[in-house]
Amino acid sequence: MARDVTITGAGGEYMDSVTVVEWCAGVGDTVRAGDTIAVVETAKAASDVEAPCDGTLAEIVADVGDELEIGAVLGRIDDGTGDAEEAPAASAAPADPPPEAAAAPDRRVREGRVVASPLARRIAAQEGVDLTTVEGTGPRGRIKRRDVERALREAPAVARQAVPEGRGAGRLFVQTRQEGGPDPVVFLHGFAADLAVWNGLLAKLGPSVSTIGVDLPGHGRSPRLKAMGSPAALADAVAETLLAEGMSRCHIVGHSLGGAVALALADSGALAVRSLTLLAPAGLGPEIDGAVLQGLARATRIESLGAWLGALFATPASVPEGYAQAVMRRRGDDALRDYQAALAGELFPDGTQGFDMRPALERFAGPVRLIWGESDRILPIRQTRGLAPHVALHRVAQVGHMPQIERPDLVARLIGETVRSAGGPR
Amino acid sequence: MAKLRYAEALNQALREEMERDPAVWLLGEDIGVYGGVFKVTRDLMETFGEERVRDTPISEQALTAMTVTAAMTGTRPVLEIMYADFLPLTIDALANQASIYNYIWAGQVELPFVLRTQGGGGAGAGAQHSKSLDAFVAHIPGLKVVAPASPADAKGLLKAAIRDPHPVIFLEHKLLYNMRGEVPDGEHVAEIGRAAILREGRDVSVFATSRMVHEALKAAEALSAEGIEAEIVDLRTLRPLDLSAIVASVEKTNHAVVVNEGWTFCGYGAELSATIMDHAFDALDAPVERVGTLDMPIPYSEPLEMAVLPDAGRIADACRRAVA
Repeated sequence: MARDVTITGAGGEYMDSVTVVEWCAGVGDTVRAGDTIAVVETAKAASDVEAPCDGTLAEIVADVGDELEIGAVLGRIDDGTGDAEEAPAASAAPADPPPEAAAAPDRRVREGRVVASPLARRIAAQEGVDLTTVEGTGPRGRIKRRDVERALREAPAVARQAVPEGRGAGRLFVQTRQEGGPDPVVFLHGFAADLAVWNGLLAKLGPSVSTIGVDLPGHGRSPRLKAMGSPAALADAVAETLLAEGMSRCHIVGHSLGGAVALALADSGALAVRSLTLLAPAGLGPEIDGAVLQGLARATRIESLGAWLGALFATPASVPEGYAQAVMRRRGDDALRDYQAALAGELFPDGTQGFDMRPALERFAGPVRLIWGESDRILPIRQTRGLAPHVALHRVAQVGHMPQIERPDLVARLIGETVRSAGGPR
Repeated sequence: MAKLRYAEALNQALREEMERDPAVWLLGEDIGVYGGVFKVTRDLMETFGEERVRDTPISEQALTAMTVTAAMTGTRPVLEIMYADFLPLTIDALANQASIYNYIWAGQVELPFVLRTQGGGGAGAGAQHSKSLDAFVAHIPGLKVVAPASPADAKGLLKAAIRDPHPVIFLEHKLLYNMRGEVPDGEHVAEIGRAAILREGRDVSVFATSRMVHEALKAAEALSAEGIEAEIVDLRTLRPLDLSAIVASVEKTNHAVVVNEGWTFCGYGAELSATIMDHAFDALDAPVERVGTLDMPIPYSEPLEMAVLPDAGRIADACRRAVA
């Protein structure tokens, strides 16, 4: 009898989807309960998938590279007990196929490689259309230009990714979670990261908090906008996106460069920013480890990326297992790396922070909290000296530049406290 | 401007070039007294004499080698190979002599000759006299390959070919010889290597050669009634390709259909298709469609022959598939 291998067993951490990285067993291989038969990856880490029973791997449903929702079937194991249901069903009700047999091919089509014409791909890249959201009307479902153009007409704001040029040429990619409730909390990631950097933390936030993750220009799935060489320019792009999402008030959590962007956004007055929780924000002092930034931006191999990522954490042991692998998979794009390397050169010339966010921090009237790792090697904690007295500072021992990953419980708690201290919705 | 048949336009080009340049002379089987099987060289022997219009024995291999050496030694021979089906007999002299001498002797040798031949099916001439072997000659670097589809181009391109300092293979089509069209009088020299847009369209580009140009134009009429506007491009020169015209058209319509009367497998259309993908891949909204002769010898039976040869119907179908 065939037993499904599902991905509910792939670690208990917060996630909504995984990507299949590797199959460790082939169809026909004998497996034992508890054997690792596949490796899947969340935005944060890789997890082993164990065989749920003894038997033979009968079918691989999800191929390497497929993205699956939690609960989806990865494959099937024949446990050798024979099929108690299928044989009678064949004689009694031949018109009714087993439901999973009918569903499986559909899912493969949706989760497989996007089939699109070269022109459709080019337009989608230019206009920032995510082809996985576009229905193809060409032969065998191929996505043609007309399909991309229809998607642009019908949902101009949805799922935009890589617009190569022009201010305002495309909105930033956002991901909304736990919609509803009071003013949402906007999460702005640091340089060379993307909104996935918050995944572990978001799982720790209570259900009452609405969150919206933003990919900064040229990061993650956001367009590579031109003239982004200052926190103010990045903040304008974020504000434009949030306003277009219908948001006029929010709390902001910003990390590193995202912290500087948060300050610039609050200072611009484009939106009413109710509170700020800043994790090792940029812009409070001149020093920054420029070599690490360039190294992160330029790394094309897991080995080189891993070396630079290590510098972000207090100790190599604090780097979550599979983290470098997960980051590398999100950075497989030459154009993205080039853009970020150029951005680093503009924002941090000669390894110096080319902007000063202290005035913006002093002017901010709402609750503001800084969280800083004492072992931060990118932005040293001494940059917190001489802060305005209304700014709360949490110095965290044995934490590097990534408090949201190194101490997610603490950071989640402090975000909650900051948001609550701003009072209820007005 | 006069209305001439394709064969007459060729005859006029030969006559004018022979009058203009005493180094130009003709050789081939039955081209003198008989005036050529398709009457392209009609009356030229009477005008220019047996020295300059030579009837030869039946040996394409010897004729081509003679032509190459005659070109090397200062004359401008125009060789007629009666059927393109006999091109394989000429290949040694073309591939191992004509196409490489200018190169291996570092430009010290020029080979200003023209090899005229005619190919194509549709005349009930059977498997040995109906082929389109364009790909055989277009494959070879060092040769130019020209295929006029109209009387005007027949004249203009033949004059250009005769004046060219390098070997030019001049592909005529047996079903075009009786086609009439306006032909400029006197000095009308076309440019080798230039395609022509015969009909503008926004939806799909059809790149066709020789007689297939006219089938493509018929297909465009039918497609227009369905709301599909095909752009018909007559390549005119098979080598060197007018790459910029091809790319510009594909970038305009985003769909490409290539039509050549030869077989599709390893055919001239395959080269066109690959070239389009090399240079305009990101402009394509669908795979390039190929139309050619079915992969078999060309039948003698007329209904079977018509079923095997490409025609307007198959070109239109390919266009519909492209824009689907």
